[in-house]
Amino acid sequence: MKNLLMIGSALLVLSSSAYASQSRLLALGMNETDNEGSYYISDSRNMFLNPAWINVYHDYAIAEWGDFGSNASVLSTTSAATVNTTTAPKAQGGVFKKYGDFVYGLYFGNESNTSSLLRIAGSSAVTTVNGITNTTTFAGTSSKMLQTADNQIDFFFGGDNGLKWAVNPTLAIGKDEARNGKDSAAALRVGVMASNWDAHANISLRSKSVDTDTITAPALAVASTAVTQEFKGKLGFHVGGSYSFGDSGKAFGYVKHYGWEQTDSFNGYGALGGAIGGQNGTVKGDFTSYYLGWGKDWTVNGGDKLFTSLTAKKTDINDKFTTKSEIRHLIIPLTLGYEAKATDWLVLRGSVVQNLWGRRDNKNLGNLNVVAKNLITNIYGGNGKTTISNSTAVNAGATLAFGNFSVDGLVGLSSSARTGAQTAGTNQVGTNKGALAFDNLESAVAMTYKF
Amino acid sequence: MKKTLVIASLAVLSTSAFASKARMEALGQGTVSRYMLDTRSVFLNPAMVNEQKNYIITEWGTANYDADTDAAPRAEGGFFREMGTFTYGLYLGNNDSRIAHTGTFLDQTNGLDLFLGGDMGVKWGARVHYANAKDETNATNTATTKHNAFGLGLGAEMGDAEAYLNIDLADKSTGNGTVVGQGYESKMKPSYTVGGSYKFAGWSFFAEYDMAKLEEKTATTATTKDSTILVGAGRVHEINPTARLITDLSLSMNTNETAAGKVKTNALPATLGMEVDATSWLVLRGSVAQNIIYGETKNAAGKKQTTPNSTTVNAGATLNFGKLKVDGMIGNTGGARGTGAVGTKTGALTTDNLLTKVAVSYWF
Repeated sequence: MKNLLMIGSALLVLSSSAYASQSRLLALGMNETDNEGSYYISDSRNMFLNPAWINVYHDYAIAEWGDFGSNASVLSTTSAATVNTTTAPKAQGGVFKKYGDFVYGLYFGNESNTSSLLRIAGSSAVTTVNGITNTTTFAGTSSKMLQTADNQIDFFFGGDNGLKWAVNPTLAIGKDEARNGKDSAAALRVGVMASNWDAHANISLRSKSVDTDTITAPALAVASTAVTQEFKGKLGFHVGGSYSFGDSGKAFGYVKHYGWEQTDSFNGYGALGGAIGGQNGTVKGDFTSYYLGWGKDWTVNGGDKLFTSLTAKKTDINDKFTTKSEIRHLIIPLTLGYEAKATDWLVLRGSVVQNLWGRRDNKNLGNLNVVAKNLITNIYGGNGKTTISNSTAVNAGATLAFGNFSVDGLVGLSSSARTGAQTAGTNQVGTNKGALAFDNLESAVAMTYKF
Repeated sequence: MKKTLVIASLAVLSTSAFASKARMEALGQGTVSRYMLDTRSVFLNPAMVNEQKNYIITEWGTANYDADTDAAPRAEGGFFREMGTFTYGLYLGNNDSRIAHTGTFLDQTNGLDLFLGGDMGVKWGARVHYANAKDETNATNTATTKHNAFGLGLGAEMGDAEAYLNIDLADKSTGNGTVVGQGYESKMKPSYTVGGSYKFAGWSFFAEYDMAKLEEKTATTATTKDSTILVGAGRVHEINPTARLITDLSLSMNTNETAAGKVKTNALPATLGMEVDATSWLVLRGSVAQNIIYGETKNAAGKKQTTPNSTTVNAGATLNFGKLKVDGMIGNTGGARGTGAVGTKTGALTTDNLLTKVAVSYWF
């Protein structure tokens, strides 16, 4: 019986999770800043949560379509700071191969959104509005924010000695001597998986970005000024795990904590009347997230899947200016999802998510630089103590299967309009207008070949 | 062993028959690969005319000779045919210009390439490139601009080794459209690409040196020198008769010298690619590439900058209609359809712009 279950599970894994990517998990309701994976949905992407997953998924190559990501500063068309979004995904991909009892892998371009967001928050406020000619529209802004981590390489190595294990060192370095800029990031993920539990620790070993730029802001009467800005990561970790109760589902949880120091040499924020946030000198910050949940999947109709999860996530962010900026965010979302093999060549999936409880209590976001403030507001809402409205989200995705080759993507992310420039913020992908658009058949596409 | 080799050769034939700029780009090879056989290989090593023959290829695009982008590819195409132990070919629209002539100097246009190759134990090939243009309509018909180019490519393939030499013997533009500029001249000094590769243990190890020098005499004289050293290794791993994994690692060192100073760009890129016969009528391919630790530009002021965002993902497909193949890139159209839709990578699979940078080849 046990063998039959194992074979059945393996086939199910092959029939569904062989199609594995960020878009698959996003379609099934994943809501993590770094799209690092799921504790209860089996997927190769989970290796960025717990690298021991490479012992489950190996012998495949994956390429996730995209480019350099989304420019963090909507005020500017040029920025060294970028983030990965479904509208403008970052190109990434890699190969994983089994060798005897071991598995190794190489992956390019999986830069962490969390790391980027912290550097964006740590950028000097005056660099985000360099060149500003209008304080209302921020016209003329030419951002000179800190460089976010780029050209990241992830190495994977793991084995299965009854207990699956793996390590994943990560490295990203860069420099720009014209800006006196240097950027480096290093992290180590370690993970283990047993038959009914797993655990991981993802440790930030180094995260530093510094540069000196000449800034001008005519609209704010800031004359040409040399500004040095520095972000320095302190203690950073992401530890978590899960425990399976068999047919009763899985319990899981994590704690993420990242501390940092941001240093800004610009000495004139007082004269600007608080228009752009920021503070001279060194300011400490920290990001802490607690996550606890239960999730389960059911196999129905001989191979299709239903998923559900109930989780609680509390996020606290502090940027300790003289008047501290605080984000207090607590959500308890319920997720319902499905994944069905519609035909031999098509797998469809989707989910609906809604907070059973959601509350935020944010203070003094205006002290953050304007780009960080916009990003934080988009994710965690604006100032004030309130429940979180409009939390219902529906996502959908599809896999086009050609034997061992599959093309994953999100569907339903395209509006019915097709005008507007690509860079003008009117991109029709990501607009969730309820349209099944055959021309924009899939977005956030990934190609996987299993060999 | 011999049978294995024959089977492997058939596999190569079955895949590389899908051949185009789009295929090369989708597999992360730029315009031509140093280790992967493709119809584009003849522009690097003319001896490769012996490997793929009896086909006509048309690369869709606009009649823009100077630019060849994803959004607006250059129209070009040609014809290759076997004749006994020889193979000959004619190709139209290839731009052989190493450094574009600046300003109002005429650039290369209407390029013509003639190929001849043979197999006499050693496979050899030669390519002659020719382009000529004249414009007497400038400045009230009193100023003439002229351009002519002549290049020669030679290559050989001996077992696991191959070598090639491509020389620009002439690439000269005179007159800049003004009366005073009648004596102006933009002239490519003898420039060349020399390289070779050797297959060992499943890998192709390659090395290449490319040198170009352009001298432009107007009221002043400006010289541009560009040289690149490339060394690396690549492998096409046949997982099964319908799927191949592509891996390469190379070190590229480029120096570009102008009056403004010397700019050096060095990189250590790695490419991971895949090409799969998804169905009898569809081939899908894709690649991810990134600089490994090292990739930077040192500007004229001596300041270094790491090449940002070097991670690239490209994808492509071939629609296979028997002897007729339609190649193209996919994923190169943005989700919106406004300005700059094609050539924008927003991760969207668009079926209205099903393929971009399309090439159609017919094999006979």
